[in-house]
Amino acid sequence: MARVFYPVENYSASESGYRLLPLRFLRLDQDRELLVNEVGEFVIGPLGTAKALIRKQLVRGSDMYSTFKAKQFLSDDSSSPLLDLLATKYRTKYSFIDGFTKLHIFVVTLRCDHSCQYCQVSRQTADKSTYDMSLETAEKSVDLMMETPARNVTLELQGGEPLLAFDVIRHIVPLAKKKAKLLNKDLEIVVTTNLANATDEILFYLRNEHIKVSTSLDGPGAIHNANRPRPGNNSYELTVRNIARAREILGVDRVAALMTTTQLSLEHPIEIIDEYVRQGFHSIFLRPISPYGFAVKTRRKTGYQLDAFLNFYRTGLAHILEINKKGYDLAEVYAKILLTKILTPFGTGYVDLQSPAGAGINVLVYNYDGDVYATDESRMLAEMGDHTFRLGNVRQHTRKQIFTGDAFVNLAAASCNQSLTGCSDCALQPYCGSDPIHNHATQGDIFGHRPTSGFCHRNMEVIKHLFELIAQQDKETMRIFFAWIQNSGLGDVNRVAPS
Amino acid sequence: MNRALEGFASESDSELSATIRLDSRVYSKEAILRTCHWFSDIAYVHLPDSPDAKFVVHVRLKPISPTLVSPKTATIEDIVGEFCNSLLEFELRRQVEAETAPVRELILAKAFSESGILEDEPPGTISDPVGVDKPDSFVQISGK
Repeated sequence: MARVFYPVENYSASESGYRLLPLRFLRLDQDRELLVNEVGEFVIGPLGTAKALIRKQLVRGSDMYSTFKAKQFLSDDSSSPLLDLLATKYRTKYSFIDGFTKLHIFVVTLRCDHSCQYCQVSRQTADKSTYDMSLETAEKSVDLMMETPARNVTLELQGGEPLLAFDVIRHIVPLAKKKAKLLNKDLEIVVTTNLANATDEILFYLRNEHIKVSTSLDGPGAIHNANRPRPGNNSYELTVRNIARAREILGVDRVAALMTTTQLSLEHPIEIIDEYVRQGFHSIFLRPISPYGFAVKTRRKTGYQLDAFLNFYRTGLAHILEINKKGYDLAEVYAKILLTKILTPFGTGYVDLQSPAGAGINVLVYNYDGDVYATDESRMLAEMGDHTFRLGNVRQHTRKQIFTGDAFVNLAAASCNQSLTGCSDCALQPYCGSDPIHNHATQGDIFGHRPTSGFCHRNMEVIKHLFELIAQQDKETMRIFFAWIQNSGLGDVNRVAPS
Repeated sequence: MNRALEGFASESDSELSATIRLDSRVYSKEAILRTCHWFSDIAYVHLPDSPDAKFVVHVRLKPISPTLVSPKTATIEDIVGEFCNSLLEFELRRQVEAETAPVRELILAKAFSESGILEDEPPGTISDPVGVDKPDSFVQISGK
């Protein structure tokens, strides 16, 4: 007895046509288009590819046909059952929703010694009792935070300047840790601080409690100090000196820096990036200008700013790639988030660019007065008199009331880009996100109007730019991209050219 | 300027506006509405009722002053051309959606179902793991 295969003719596919699987497409430029399937796998082809595919004009056995079949854009008789595979991929893409709210931002005080032009909430009064989080509010906030289903919880201490309320922090940290241990949760704590008031005592405390530091560095001195004035106009000098001290005490990998982009920053991408290299950082986030507080309603008004940002981004990214090619590891975080979605099966839990939107679902903000907000921007809007996204108060509402109240439910309705006009047709849907609060602040309603949306225009252009770079198939660039995605240095990435 | 193409006819009414007539046997209302939506940032688009089997679209450019970044503003001919291209693309999208909607719903339902009730059975049976007994089997057992 022996097992043999049937003759080869038994394996040729029958001549019947193929069936389409869910897909979307977009013109990239004059010559090319991008096709993306339901789980974010993509094909770049010449103009007319989508039409040929959709009108069933592809020839079985051709390269195009095989590519689309392998990437699950079409199926035919010889396709194995693949719906379970697609469903699993889909689940993987959205696994960041699992566990619900993971990032909890505590605004421990509104007091601050800086008056940064982009911050809506700085106060210079020393009146602790009015603007610090009371111990009772802190306790209730920790209780609410720990009710989240998530196993991994991140507590972010913010302000104002949180180190000015160090005694509140000293009360919150042990409380949070104790609760985490009781509930078997992994707790990570970060403090976002300008470091201007970071004494050695504070830094040693942060080290002993395993608290990470995230500070602000807007660029070289001239830019940083122009953006972030303080008495003595020495924010840059203090920041740089204290970054060094914090690195000494906490360790280099426990101190990160973020930049905030202003009109001034837009003119100096190279100088800002070079400053990050000079200070020894290995990641920089070229963030867009925040629209909050400008109350602009039309894309035309923001048009110049958007175009200026896109220029800033493209120039900055090119410069960063050059720096990497010369041997210095420097990741750009906006690109890294998008590339993770484009080049891997995974999604990302970056709250400002996800669908469903991060507001409430992945992040919650606990204000010094006990009010609970969906995002930090919602809190800023409230400072300006708009309380639309105030979800409740820790002293008055239960978790259930907060998440079933009108504010959150309305927000959730506008949170999925799968069901927003414009987004539902867009090929970039799996990589992009939705931001109902941004829509509300810039366009007057939470659903937004895609043709005039700054959020849409900006993300489309950045994602298209990344696809243009990917389409070039430059081996060095792709190695750099994969190093960023894997959070590793270039030296660690195997010299395997990704396909 | 007149443009005639597969159920698409347009004429410029003025420097800033045009009327486009679309044959409803070729273009669906859904595709037309979605195309109109995407042009609503640069044009006013109006779909009046039409007695015969044609959709009528009035397009009127919004006044846009030239800027340093875009010194040359689009003409009504450019917009009508783009409208035609976009319309074809939205028709294709509608076709895809119509064909793939059931599969897509099934994929999403499977992705989020908790109880495993929508899982497909793996092929084959315990007593016949390689499926030898199936009529379209890949493998046969010969008696040598």
